[in-house]
Amino acid sequence: MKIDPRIALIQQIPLFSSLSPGALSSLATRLIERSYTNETVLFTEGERGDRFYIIEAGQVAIIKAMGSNDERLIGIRGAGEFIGEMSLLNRDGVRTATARVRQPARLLEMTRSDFDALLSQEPTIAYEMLQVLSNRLRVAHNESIRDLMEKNRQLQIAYNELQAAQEQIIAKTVLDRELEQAREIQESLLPGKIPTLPGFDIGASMVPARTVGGDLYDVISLDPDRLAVIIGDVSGKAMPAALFMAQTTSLLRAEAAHDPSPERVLDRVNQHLLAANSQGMFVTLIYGVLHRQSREFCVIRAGHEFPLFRSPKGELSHVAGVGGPLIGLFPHPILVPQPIELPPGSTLLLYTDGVNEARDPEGNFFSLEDPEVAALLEGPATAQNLCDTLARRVLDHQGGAPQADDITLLAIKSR
Amino acid sequence: MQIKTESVAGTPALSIIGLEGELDASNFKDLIGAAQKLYEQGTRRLVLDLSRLNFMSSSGLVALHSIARIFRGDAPSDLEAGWSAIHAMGEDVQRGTEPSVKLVNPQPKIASTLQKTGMDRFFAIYPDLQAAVNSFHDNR
Repeated sequence: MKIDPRIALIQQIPLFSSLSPGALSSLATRLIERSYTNETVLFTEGERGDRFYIIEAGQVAIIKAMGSNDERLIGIRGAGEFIGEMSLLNRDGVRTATARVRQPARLLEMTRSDFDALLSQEPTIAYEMLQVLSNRLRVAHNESIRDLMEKNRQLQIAYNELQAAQEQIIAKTVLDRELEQAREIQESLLPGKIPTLPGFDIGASMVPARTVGGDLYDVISLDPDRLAVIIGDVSGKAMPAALFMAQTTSLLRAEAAHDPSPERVLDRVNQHLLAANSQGMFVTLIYGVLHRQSREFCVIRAGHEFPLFRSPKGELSHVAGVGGPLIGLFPHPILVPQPIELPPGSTLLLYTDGVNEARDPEGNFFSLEDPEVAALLEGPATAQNLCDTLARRVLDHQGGAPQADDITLLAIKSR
Repeated sequence: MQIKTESVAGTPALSIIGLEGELDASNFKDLIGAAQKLYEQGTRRLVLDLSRLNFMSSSGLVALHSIARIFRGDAPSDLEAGWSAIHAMGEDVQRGTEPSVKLVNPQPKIASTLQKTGMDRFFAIYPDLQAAVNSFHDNR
């Protein structure tokens, strides 16, 4: 570039606008012209610098905190502008920002020694420098304020969100506690220790699908020779089912204590549930009375799954029979009791549909017809062990699939 | 599960809901919603085609029962109507079955569930759509 255009360029810069023509001339000759490609970093924030650049052509980006989360572009300087002047004034010469070429640029460079020489010749430049500095300071200051205000706003939002989240956690903790209390109450409704009857071994196992469930079972000692045995499944799951289950269990106990005959108990419970039932809920039940002397289980199957019977010889069959409809729906259900003989060596398994409708991740149902089940029934395990093992088998079969329904098993082994 | 509805001309309006797939806890409310919508649009006779339904859990029974109540004009949350609706349903059991909602051709497993729970005494079950639709005209 010829000298004259260079002088014109330099003269445009406010810092040098008051220089005499002679000073401008000698300044022009002292400047070194250099070309830089795009993306070149001229200088980095924090390093020592000793030169100042005037842009003849191209663009340079001024970047604060480059490479960090707080990186931001402070400005873009183009032809006729200058950069790096702060290091000329700052005796330590530390760069206050990073300069990176944005378009291929041609720059005129001035070192500090050149600048100092210029300053001693033309002291008025100092005033121009002050003007430039105070402008830059004001802009930077305003930007800092804006920055801080934005950060504060974001902090406020984050704080509000945290508060809301905390409230949700507290609410959930309260609900969890209540759910846990409900679970304890429900557990207390189930027989703690199963009453015994000479000649029989009875066990039961229950795995709710949620914290509380809609399945029920009960074994009630009526007198030294008789037990009432009950299993049931309320429509639905979780809390609504659990509440209905509690109601049903209590009603069954109350009626059985009054008069344990299966037809009477189920009919009375049905009437009570109809009267109290606004939600259209219903329950399937098996209610029977086990007689010690006759070894007869006199039972009504009200809409419930067919019990599985293992004869002393090892033959398995589902106990068919008319039974009756599910309870809580019909005002005058026809309930037909049925005596099931339980000779020594036989086993009767009652269960809810959480067992035979349990599915593995592929969708295959758990089958009570499986030879493994037959083998379990065959074995010498106690009724309790039998139920616990079967419940585990159902859960194993389920594998990773979610538990769709409450699982309940009750076994009566005749010895 | 897929729910397909179609309406058959005539008064009172008759609709057919065809179910395909599995009816369980995850979707039984969709079925109740579909029936509710038809009732609100004026359907007073409903046929449920179960021939392509492969599986029905106890939630399906809840759906069937809820649909029967809807077609009695019983909004589920109304206590008084609920009690009288159930009474009325039971009286129909004395006479026969639920008159407004009929079932068609359930697959064997579902047929046995309906039998096991006594629901087969509550809903009339027909072997095909024609028989079910005709039963409305014959009034049983």
